[in-house]
Amino acid sequence: MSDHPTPPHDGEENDTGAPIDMLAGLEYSPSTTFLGRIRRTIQRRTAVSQVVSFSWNAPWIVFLEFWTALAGHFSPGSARKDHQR
Amino acid sequence: MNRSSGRDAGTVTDPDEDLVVRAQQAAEGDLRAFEALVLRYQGQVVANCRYITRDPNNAEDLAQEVLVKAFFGLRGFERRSSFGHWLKRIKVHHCVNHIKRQSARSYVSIEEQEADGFDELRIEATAEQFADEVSDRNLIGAVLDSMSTSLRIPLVLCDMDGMSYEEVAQSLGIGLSATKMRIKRAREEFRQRYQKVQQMGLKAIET
Repeated sequence: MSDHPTPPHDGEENDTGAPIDMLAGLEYSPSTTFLGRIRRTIQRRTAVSQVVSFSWNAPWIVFLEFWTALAGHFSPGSARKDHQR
Repeated sequence: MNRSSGRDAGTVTDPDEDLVVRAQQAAEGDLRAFEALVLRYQGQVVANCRYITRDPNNAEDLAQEVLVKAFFGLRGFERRSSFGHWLKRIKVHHCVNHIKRQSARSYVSIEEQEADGFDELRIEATAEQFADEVSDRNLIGAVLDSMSTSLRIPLVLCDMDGMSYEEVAQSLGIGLSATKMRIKRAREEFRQRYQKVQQMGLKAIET
């Protein structure tokens, strides 16, 4: 005699009954402010992300611009123009 | 020689494709295309959040979080499935995680069956409450709220959302056989309770 439990009959396992038709596509109307709240949340998070990105990048941008300006001031082209004046 | 149709081999025909592409390509701050998608799906998302979590007070907040997540994930959406299907997965994970957080705070486990006595009381109170305005949606909500989480969630995912048994099993992290068994029991229970609530509701109106 086998010690293993009898596996469920194929028909029993696959028979889940008829779907509940009244649930299909059931919707729940949100409040009139729902879309506005989503919009504001997205705009808020986008603004925060931009501020963070700017805060992170600003020092590097300032640093690069400073050295670019400095290099431009002491470049040979720049020295010639000063001499011509 | 196969010509490229401009579509990946893995993508499917999506009724929302036009809006999704416009939303993905929209300039920063331009939410018109995404808002059109929200208007299409907000009813379903709120309904799911309402009936999966059994939390009418927070349903809109949860739905809002789902749709905001969808917005920020849109750039990474590769359109291998339809937008509706992709949104369903976000919604299910978010709601299930919400329930798990709630159950971690309370004593009731996400898998636990509530006591039958408690459920009976809930059905009676709800039927009287809606005696003046017995609508199908109210009755459906009352019946779903009275069901245990382990039966309600698979039923909502399968019969309300149209997910396949495999998708439900994968979303909930349970086996396919267990999923089918739960859905079968959930359907039977729903029908019994709905009939009972209807009868109670009609009796309350008649008295």
